[in-house]
Amino acid sequence: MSYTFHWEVPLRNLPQFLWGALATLEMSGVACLLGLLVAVCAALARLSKHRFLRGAATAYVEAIRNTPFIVQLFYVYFGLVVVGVNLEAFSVAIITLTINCGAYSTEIIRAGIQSIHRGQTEAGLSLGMTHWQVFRHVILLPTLRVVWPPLASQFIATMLGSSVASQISAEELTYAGMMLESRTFRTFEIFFFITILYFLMARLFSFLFSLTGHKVFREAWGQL
Amino acid sequence: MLELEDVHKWFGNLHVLKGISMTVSRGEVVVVIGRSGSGKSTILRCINGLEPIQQGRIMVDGEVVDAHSRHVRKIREEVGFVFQSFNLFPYYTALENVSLALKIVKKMPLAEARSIAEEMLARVGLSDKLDAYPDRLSGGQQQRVAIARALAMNPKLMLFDEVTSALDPELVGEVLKVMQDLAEGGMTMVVVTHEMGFARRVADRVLFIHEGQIAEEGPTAQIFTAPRNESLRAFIESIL
Repeated sequence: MSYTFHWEVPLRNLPQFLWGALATLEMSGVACLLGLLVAVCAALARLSKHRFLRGAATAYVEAIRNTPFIVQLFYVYFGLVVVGVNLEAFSVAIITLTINCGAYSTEIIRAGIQSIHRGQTEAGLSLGMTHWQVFRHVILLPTLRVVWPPLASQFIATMLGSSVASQISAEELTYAGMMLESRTFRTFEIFFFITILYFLMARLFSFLFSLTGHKVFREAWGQL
Repeated sequence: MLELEDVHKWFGNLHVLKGISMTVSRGEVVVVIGRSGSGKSTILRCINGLEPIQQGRIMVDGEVVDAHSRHVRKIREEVGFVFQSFNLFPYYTALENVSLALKIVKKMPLAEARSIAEEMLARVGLSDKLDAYPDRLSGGQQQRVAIARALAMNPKLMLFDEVTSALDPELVGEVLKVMQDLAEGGMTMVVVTHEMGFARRVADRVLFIHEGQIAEEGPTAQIFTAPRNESLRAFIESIL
C-alpha cells in the first residue's frame, strides 16, 4: 500500500467541518420539528371523515414514500424556480426535508392514533372535556409517547438524509467536505471525519429524544 | 333531578327509542332492565349527550341536554358515566386517570386534584394501586378506577352502562359492592344492568324497556314478583 495518509488536511480544516455539522443540525432540526407538525395534521386528515381530506393526505404520503428523496429535492428546487420563486438552496433543503419527513412520520402517528380506542374519546367527553382537550390529553400526548421511539429513528434518518442536500449546493456537512475534497483531493481522510461527525450527531439526536421522551412528556402530563 | 319527555332516537332508519318518558328524583336509584338491543344503553348515552336525540326533551337538574350545544359540557361535568368497557386512559396511571379531568376541566391545582383522586381511589378500595397502569389491573379494579374517575368530578347523577357485563363472574361482586355503597350514600343513579340480584337489593324502582319503549315500571318488588307485562314475564323467566 503506497497511500500516505494526510490527516493534517481535515484537522487543519476542523472549523469548516464543525460549521458544516452545525448547519446540518440546524437544517434537519428545523425540518424534523416542522415535519412533526405536518405529520400530525396529515395523520388527522388520513383519519378524517371527509373523503377529500383523506384522499389528499393519502396522495401526499404515497407520492413521497414511493419516490427517491434526491428526485424530490430537484423537483422542489427547480420547480420553485419555474414558478418564479427563488429561494436559497438551504431553505429549499429544509422545505423538502420537511415534506419528506412529514410523510413518513404521518404513517407512524396515524398508527399511534389508531391504537387509541374510540371509547377513550367518549370517556373524555363524558368527563366534560372539550374536543380539543380530548385530542390533546387523551389522543395526541399518549400517541406521541407511544410512537416516540419510531419517530426518533425517522428523525435520525432525516438528519442523515439531509446530506443529499449537498447535491443542490446547500451548505451543510457533506457539502463542506466536498468543497474541501475538491481543493485537496484527500477524499478518504475527509469522509472519514465526516462519517464520525454524522455518527456523533445521530447519537446526539437519540440522546435528546430519550431525554425529551422521559422528561418533557412526564412533565407535560403534569406529574399528577 | 332527571326528566325525559317523549324522547325519540333514530339511528338512520332504525327507530331505537320510541317515546321514552321518565323522571328520577334526587337520591333515587333506578335500574333499567331489558333484552340486548332494546335501547337501554342508548337512553344513558342520550342523557349525557353522547348521542343526540331527534325528538322530545331531556332535562338534568332543570337544564336541557342538547348534544350539539357547548353547554352539554357543563351538564357532563355533573353527570358521571361509567362504561361497560371501562374506557380508562391506558397511558395514564390510575391516579392520573382520576385526576386528569380535575386538572384540565375543573382547572384544579395539582396538589388538590391529586388529593381528591387519592380520596376517590381509597373510596373504591384501590389505595394501593395509585401508580398502576390500567393493563396491570384486573377488570374489576379497572372498573372501580373508572367509577372513581367519574365520582371525582362530584357529579349529581351517576349513569352506569352494564358496568359488570365485561367482567369475569368472580370480579362482579367487588364492583357491585362499590355501587351499593354509593347508593346507600344517597347518590342519584340510573343503572343499566343484567344483575337482577343487585336490582333487587339496591333499586328503588325498576324500568323494563322493550323495543324502545318503557313496557313496565314500578317498585322493585312488584316488578320481580308480580310482573304484568307479558314480555317482562318472559324476560324475567329467561334470566332467573
